[in-house]
Amino acid sequence: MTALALCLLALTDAGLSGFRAAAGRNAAVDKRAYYRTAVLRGMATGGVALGVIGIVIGAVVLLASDPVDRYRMFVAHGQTMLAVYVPFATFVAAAFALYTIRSVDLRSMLSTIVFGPITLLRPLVIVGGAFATGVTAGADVLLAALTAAACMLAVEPIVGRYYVD
Amino acid sequence: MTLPARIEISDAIVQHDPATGRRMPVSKDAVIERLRASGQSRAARIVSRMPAPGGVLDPAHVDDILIRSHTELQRLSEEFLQPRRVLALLRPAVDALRATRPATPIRIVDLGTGLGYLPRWLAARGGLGEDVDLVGVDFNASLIDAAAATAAAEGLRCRFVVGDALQLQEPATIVTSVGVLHHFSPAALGKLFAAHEQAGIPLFMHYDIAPSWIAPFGAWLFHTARMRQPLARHDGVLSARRSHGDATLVAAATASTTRYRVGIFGRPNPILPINRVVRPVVGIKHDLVTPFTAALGSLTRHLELQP
Repeated sequence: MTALALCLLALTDAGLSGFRAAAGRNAAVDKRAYYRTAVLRGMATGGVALGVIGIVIGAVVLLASDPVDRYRMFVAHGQTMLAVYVPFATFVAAAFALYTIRSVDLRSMLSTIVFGPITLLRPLVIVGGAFATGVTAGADVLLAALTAAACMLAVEPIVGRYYVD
Repeated sequence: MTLPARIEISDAIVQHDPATGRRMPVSKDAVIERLRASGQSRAARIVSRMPAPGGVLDPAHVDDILIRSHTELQRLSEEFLQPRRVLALLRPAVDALRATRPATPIRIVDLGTGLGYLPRWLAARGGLGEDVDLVGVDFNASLIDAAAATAAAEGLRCRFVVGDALQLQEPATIVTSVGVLHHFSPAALGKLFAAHEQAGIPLFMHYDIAPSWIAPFGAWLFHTARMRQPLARHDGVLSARRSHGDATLVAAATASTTRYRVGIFGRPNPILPINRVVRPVVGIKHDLVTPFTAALGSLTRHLELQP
């Protein structure tokens, strides 16, 4: 369940990274198809990133002297990461829910106080979630968590390469 | 020692002959020196990286940067729903013109249109009617070419012209602009508004950043989060510092014209001015005030016209 929740969060974040990678590079008025493609590219890249993370974690678990115990430890530390990511994701989801209200002033305010700042905060939250595991975990868990954070942070620049002339 | 006023890089790297509108060569060293003299070492570094064969900034490179920067700027307009804000005033303005000047073709001219996002958006989503001519005007031919190509690619019914928005062969009935006024000094603002009157334009609405205690921080935050071009980041943040206050805009318009009622529409909340990043100075010819406010309806409460 913990792994599934982290994967869902990672894929959602990757989709939004795809959107950001494409934004500001196309002057058309109707960009629905353009952004749809960008989100899918982000999610596909995020899927690859999840594969890399899975391989790293799988290797660490399988190489451990007690793989089952090691796996349980990863799950426990995954819950620590969720404790950091879920409040952030809930805040973002709530802002998106409010954005559905058709008020120009409200939407502007949400951009000003939520969507702009969270773009800058996101890398800190991602890395912070990874380091949160390090408080009690061993080096292998921290390494896996930091690998996961690096993979997620890499999605936007990787997708951005599609849009560079 | 007082430094000269800070300048935006985009204002320094492109120059046009005021008489002919023809683009003039720009010396890279002169721009760098000018930026350093005004204490803008970061801006000088940005310009120092631009190619300049023979010491003259490469116009193709400059245009490429400007088109990229304007595309990023459009993203901010999209995020802050800028065209919807303009449409909220344009609809009643068009209704008022139809009611009072049925024989006059309605032509909305966007001054300093850049990539023409406003006219293109109005053509795609504005629903103002087939009788409304949408025109974007800018001195920069490359931006106008890009605007026209983008409009053509989407099959939009609007057109783009290189030149002076206030000296078109077919005059405007409404002149708009977004994020342009801060490029003018207070003295030049007066000349701009006077030119509206001389051109016989019935109505104008110029949107620009509302200066406030939080605007410079907000501009920094958004240009850091959203922009990729160093030029766009630099100029975007500076534009928030250079934007004119309500009193300056209204004073410039009232002092230089006699046939308009002038005012500000949609002033942001004074304590926490985050609900409206930009707001317009509006000028309405006296005979249009009543039909315009009638068409504006309940939104009239946001319109603060000078007596």
